[in-house]
Amino acid sequence: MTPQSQSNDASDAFSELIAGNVLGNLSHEEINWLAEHQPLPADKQLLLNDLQTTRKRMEQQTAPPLSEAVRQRVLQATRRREHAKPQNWLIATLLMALALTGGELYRAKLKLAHQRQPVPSRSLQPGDRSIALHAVQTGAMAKAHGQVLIRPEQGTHSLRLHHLPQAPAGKIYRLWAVTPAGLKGCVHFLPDQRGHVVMTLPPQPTGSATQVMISLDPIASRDQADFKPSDSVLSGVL
Amino acid sequence: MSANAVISQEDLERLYDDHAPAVHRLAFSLLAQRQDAEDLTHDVFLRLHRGGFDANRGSVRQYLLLLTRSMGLNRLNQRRNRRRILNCFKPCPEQHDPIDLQALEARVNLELALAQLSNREQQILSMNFQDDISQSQIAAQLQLPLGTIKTISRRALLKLRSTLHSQQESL
Repeated sequence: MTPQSQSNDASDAFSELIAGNVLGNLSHEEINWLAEHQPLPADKQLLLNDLQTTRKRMEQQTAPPLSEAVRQRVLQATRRREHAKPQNWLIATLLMALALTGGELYRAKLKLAHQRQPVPSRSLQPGDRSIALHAVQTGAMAKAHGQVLIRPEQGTHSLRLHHLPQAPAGKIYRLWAVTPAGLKGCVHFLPDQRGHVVMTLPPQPTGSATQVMISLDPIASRDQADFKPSDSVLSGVL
Repeated sequence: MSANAVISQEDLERLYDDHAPAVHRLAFSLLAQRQDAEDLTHDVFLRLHRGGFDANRGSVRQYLLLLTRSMGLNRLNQRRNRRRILNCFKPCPEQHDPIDLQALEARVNLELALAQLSNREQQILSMNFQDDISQSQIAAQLQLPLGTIKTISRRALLKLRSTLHSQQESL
């Protein structure tokens, strides 16, 4: 055994004693040994503090026992879904047959409806501005899209996004507005489980935006007033 | 498991047994109500069964924890909206109850770090912290010497600390 490996072993044993101290499972001999080595060297004191924090986090992350009934409910529900599949196919076939039979009539009605009602329900009102957002990255992000709708007359702006991937751990999405006064941070958000985001935006700075972008930022950036986005994922120009 | 693979009943049972405690712990730490946490755990596994998990984008544990975080946040927002509506009918001032996203991330990270431990290490830490069983009782239940339990739990705690450190540095 080399002196280096001996030194590492001793350090590991020392660290394990500190862990035992934090867990409260030291023997009398170990307690005495540790007492003789007080005060601890700086690196071991740091380790002690870290381990105490880790223990505290473990203690805070406890939950009452998970009921066995939940497991049964999950398995029953998924079994029902699997059994229901043939019925679903039958319903789908019937619906398709119905759709084919009435297809022509439906198309004719639709055509008529379009002729009578050329303006869709969420159409732009005078003064409204819509900024379409498109992905600027490839991969899972490529499908993401949406729009920022600015309605100065009504004072209600909105953000709608679709197919936005879940934010990785430690990250959060943020909307940014490019205004005549510079780049301004707007709202933070996370998509729902289907990758959708629908939210109302405050009047400013979105109201003065000529361009908007969405970035994926570290959560800690929320507290940094001068934070500038580096990981842009969607953008759009008025 | 391949990308967006269909999950069989047997796979689901195994995945539930492996990951439900971690999902439930995160759900409870987020919602703080037993029934809500169990409902969320239930819904997360139904969602997994419906598909959407892509093995190319991370581990099942990671997917389930991010799903729990996302669905849990939605429920917290729904709760807040309900409270806001109720407050409209009460003379008391509106309560501001911001969601602490950093604390939430820390909980997700702790569960991901726990998943890096061996099954035995997870089992012993869980018995110790989650079930509040003493180490001598754990030794008796697992039919292992007390010294072995102590060593495993000490090394597990050190590993956990090291993994949490690496996570912080990678952010």
